[in-house]
Amino acid sequence: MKEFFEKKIITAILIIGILLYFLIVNFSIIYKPLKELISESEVNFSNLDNLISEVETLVDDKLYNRDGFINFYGYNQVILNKNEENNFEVVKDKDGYLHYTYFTNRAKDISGYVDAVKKFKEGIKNTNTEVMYLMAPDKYIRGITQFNYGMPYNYANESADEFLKKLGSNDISFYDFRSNLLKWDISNNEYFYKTDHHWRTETIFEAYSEFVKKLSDKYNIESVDYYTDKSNYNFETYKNSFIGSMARKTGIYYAGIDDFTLIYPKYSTDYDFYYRTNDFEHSGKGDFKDVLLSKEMLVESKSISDEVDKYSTYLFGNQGEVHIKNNNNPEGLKVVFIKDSFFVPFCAFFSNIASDIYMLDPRYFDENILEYINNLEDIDIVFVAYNPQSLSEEFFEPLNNT
Amino acid sequence: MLFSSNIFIFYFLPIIIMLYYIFSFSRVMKNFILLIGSLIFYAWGEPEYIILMITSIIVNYILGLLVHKFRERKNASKLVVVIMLIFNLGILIIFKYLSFILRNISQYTKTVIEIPNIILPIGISFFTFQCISYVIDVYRKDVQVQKNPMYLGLYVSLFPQLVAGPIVRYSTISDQILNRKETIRKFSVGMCRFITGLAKKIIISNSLAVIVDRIFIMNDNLTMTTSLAWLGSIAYTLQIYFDFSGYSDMAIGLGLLFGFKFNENFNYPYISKSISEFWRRWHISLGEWFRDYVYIPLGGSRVKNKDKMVRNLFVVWILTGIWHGAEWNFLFWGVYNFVFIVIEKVFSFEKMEGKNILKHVYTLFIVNLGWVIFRSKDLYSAGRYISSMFGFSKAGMWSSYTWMFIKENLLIIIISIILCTPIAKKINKMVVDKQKGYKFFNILYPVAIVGIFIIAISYLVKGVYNPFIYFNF
Repeated sequence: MKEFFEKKIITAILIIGILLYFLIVNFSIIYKPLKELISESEVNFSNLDNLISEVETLVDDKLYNRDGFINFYGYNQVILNKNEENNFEVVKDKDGYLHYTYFTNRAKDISGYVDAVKKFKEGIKNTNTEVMYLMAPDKYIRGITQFNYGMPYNYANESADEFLKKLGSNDISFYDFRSNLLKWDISNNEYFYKTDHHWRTETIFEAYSEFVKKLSDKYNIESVDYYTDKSNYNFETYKNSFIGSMARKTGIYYAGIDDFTLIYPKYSTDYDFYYRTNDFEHSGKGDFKDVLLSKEMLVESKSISDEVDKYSTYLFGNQGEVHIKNNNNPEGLKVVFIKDSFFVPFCAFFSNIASDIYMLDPRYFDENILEYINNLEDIDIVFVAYNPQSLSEEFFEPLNNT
Repeated sequence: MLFSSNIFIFYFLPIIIMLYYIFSFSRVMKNFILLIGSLIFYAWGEPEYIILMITSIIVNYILGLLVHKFRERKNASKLVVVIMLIFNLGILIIFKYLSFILRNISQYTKTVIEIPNIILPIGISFFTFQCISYVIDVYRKDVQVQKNPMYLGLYVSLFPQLVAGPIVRYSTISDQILNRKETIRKFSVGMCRFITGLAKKIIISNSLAVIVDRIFIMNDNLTMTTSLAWLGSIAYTLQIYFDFSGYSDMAIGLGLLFGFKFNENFNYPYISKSISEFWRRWHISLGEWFRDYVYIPLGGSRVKNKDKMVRNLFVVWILTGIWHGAEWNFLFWGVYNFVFIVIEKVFSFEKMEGKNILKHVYTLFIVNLGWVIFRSKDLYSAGRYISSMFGFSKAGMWSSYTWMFIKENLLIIIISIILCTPIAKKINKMVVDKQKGYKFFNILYPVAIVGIFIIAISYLVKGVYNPFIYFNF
């Protein structure tokens, strides 16, 4: 009987030790921010719900060794050989790449989105302005990606196929980056980051190169070969440095850490750069690497909290409204991109051959998109540029509100 | 506040343990700390309903005093009990059943009635039953009336059992309020019990919930196959056991930390060999409550006319069904259990010799089917689900999802099936009797418990899928 209780006493002492240690450390971390929160909040009975919720959020966010626990959780999932994590928040394919997916047994009904693009195109006043849809590849690459048996597949590619087919039948031109993806100079399975939902900068550069060469068939783009020649660009690889969006949920042991390659021109450039999201504005003038890149994001991050999303190094990530003016190419194309996050680095590269790029993100741009575009002069092309998983109300409803 | 939350594990629990034992020289202070802590615990999740709980405590306190005052005047004391029942059941009806009642009246009389959107206060079914049992026990003179409102408040609101039971009788706790003894052994057993309960809930039950919730959605979308239907029902049978018994383990464990000894609420129900036995092992505190406050007062089984016994059972099971939720499927589930219990009584099923394995399979089969009715959002969904189980699914027999769910959760499923058996009891006995190999378990135990504690809190900190299935109660 003595041994029966002895083991429990030892266990209880260990647990109490752990709880007290965490209490002291957590309290020392949370004391100041909690004090600030309470002093800034209106503490009354009707507001108690909100205050409690904010305190809980603060407690969750400021937990000591939070990253360590998340990493440990991810490690446990590896030990259990799990290919799905936390109720299919993220799934892993056979090559260890992480995906967002959901349960469905058919492609989406995209007819409403086609109508939105059609209506939007008809709303462009300048009849010389071309409207083109750009479809980025989905992380599930047909012929390459393999899910484990039974893993839910979201039919994003099939939805995109149907969408583009209907765009074509409505006389809306499009460019599908999925078509030649496997021919690009990228080794298998490295089109996308393992731990992030975006395509790699190297892949984006290939997409940009292929596209501007195609575009130069119709538009007079000077020195297109020069601007798409990799030897004219710096490729700086930061090894094991990028904890992608999905790894920030699963921990670094579930799928590892990605390398991140920063690509920027060797030649001299001169830009005026501006962005605005709600009331926040920023502008700059100068070289590509000084103005279009936020290099302070390229810090080495070995923990989830340290990660500042290196993908957002280009153009400071997703902003509501962006204007890039290439002062070295005043005769270049004047274009508008209505885009999601997939086309942010793409636009940075594209700025090399353009004179002006306007970028609008429907999620963060608070004005009427069509009105904005119609107020611009001499726009050559308006691109609606999304990835297959952006075929959703969030991205197409703003096109409909015209 | 929930036990399975960061704020409870990292702040509330260590703070209340510390304060409690700092004031260990004063019983009054210790009880006061527990009372205030319990009220904060409840208010944290439901600030607007703390007033309801405090009102309930005050009213039942006064009614208890009145019952005691009129103890020699039968009619007066009976009247007080009636008032108590109207008050407590009235609260329950308003918050839990009013929307259901109005919805059905509107549907069947084809009149338009505005259905109020009433949020069910967490734990209302538990604490109103505790209040009812207190006043009735005073009326029956089974317990002394509690003249200190703080102590009655402590009984009703004590945080370990407030949200998800067990339903603690005042008679169990009345002496412990003033005369309990905290010992290092109780504390240690309590802490270990709490950790195992936490692991059952966070690691096992929440993992199974992923399977269950997906499959039941597929039932709604008509994409559920026969194989998925069986997997979903078995997974839910396991999920609800580990969730509910996990919460009970946590409650009992937390009680022990502060010197309280609560009765067991689960006794390995899935080893039962009859539905009657199942209900002696599952949610024991509820079964005993209905037995002592409904079944026996109606006459129980000691009635000359056996039809009256059937009637008494029917009443108990109707009430048991609707206690679990305000929908027709809960009522049907109560009647479903009643039918099998009566059949077993009529055929003296439990006294039948041999055929234990068949009895076990029969019990699990009936219980499993019952859980499908219980889990479904309504009777129609339940009917569709059960028909899929027996091959009438429009989506066919097999689905790749079946293999995927099993493969992704294989270890959890195996462990949960093993833990449905009294293996822990056998290991404890092995240690106590110093059987061969007991030293190994002695060394393994602290490592295992601390290990599963760290795993459980890593799941909590990560913020894994953590459904709370007692919102109906």
